[in-house]
Amino acid sequence: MPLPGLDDRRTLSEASLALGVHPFDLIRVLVALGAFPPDLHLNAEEVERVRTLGGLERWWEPDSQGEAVRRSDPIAARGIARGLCVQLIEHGLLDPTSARLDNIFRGLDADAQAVARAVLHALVQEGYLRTFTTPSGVNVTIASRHGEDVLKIASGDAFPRALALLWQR
Amino acid sequence: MSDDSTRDGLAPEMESPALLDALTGIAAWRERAEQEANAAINELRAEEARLNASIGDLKRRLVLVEERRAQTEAKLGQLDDEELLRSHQALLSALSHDQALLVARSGAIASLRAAAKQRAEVLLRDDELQGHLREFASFAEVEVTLKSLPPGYRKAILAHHDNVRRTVEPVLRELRGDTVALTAPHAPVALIASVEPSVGPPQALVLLTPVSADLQTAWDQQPQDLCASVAYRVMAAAAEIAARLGAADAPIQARPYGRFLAFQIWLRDRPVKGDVKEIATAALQRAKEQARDLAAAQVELFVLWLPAAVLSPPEDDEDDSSVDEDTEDEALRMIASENVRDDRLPDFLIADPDTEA
Repeated sequence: MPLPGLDDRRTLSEASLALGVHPFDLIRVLVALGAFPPDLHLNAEEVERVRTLGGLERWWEPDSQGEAVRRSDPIAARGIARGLCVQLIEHGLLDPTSARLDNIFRGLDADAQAVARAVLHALVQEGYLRTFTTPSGVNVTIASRHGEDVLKIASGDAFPRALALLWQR
Repeated sequence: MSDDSTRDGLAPEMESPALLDALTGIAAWRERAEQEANAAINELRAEEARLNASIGDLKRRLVLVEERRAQTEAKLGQLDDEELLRSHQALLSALSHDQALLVARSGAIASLRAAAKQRAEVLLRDDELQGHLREFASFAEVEVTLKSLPPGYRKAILAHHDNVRRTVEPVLRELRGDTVALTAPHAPVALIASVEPSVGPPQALVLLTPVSADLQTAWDQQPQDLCASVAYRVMAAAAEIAARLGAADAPIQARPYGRFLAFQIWLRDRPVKGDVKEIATAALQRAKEQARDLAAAQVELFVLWLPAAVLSPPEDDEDDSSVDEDTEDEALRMIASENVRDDRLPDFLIADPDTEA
């Protein structure tokens, strides 16, 4: 028997698990939306609202193009780098369009996430990607002058040295 | 003089020459004078010896006094550092104490919640109450049809629903945990706030909690207890503070400060609106007022503003075995670091849009 406003209440920790986001990041989203719950609980409807309005997306779905490219590459780290660039392109993240940085990791297992972080690091250091803070967290975008370069990484045609080092070590 | 001495106009014959008498007198005077002088010299030499002895003693005392003065001056010069060090150690000690208190009260509240749940389960064994609950739960379906009903029906249905609500309210209160309240002494828990620098445009605001730093990585391995409540509320306050300062996009970092969790709002060169302390105090006050779970545990957040130097004192921690070795470095990095890094993205530099542009 579902009790309204009771059975579907989740703690912020539980809501974070459901959304695949760190609680501190979730809280920043909630504050930005003016929806921080004083009792530190959200119901199912509110969780979904935060997911939508906060731009919390799960990119690495089995049927996503990025996932397909990732799996097609015989070198795991290179596959993640290419798949990640496909994800960025698929979501149209050429500066000034941006998305939450943590969307890049959602859907990957822990090992793959670690590689994805290293890939991101390399791409930011090379200037291909730009990250910046927003009221609801950290966002990422492709630096406008590197759109072609990111396409080349996605297609496997060319990789910046710092990135290639990840699988050539 | 007799008459005989003047009889023939000659001076009377003297018994000894007058000069001899005079010289004899002089000699006697000389002898007395010498005796007196020698006696005086002896006394003065004795006095001189006494004075020299005293001077030697005073000189030795003077050296001692000079040494003590130099030591005291040196001590005075170190008072600032000593005060910082003692304040820092008191801070860490207070955080440890408050952390233990939060953990203990979290346990007590968890027990009370379990007891409330058990009481609810006992109440739910009543079939009649279960029927009321089913009716209460299905009211949402009825509610949408109310507008289409005549006012009299509507009023009767609402009155009935109100009765049902009152009947099921006790069990709902138990299930919601509204009945949970700890009988324990009121306990203030310190929340440390600090602005760096203390004078001039603020670069960073630090909010240091007594919550274990482990929460940042282990939040999904434990129930949302009072420690999490404090951390989550402080994080929300930090985001609100940034927004009210006109720096809503300021990076907010959660990171360990020794064994404790701290939040840092990086304002850097952002032109902030208003007084940081005033705005932060108001936001933290709101967070306190909203924290019914903390109130139920008789815990109150007590905001204490400290100079940033207390969080990162010079040459500290050497004698404090309870403090992690990294504490000072962490504090220094926290206060002084120019780069903003997100610890959940290892070695990942988060660029500031203002400086990037």
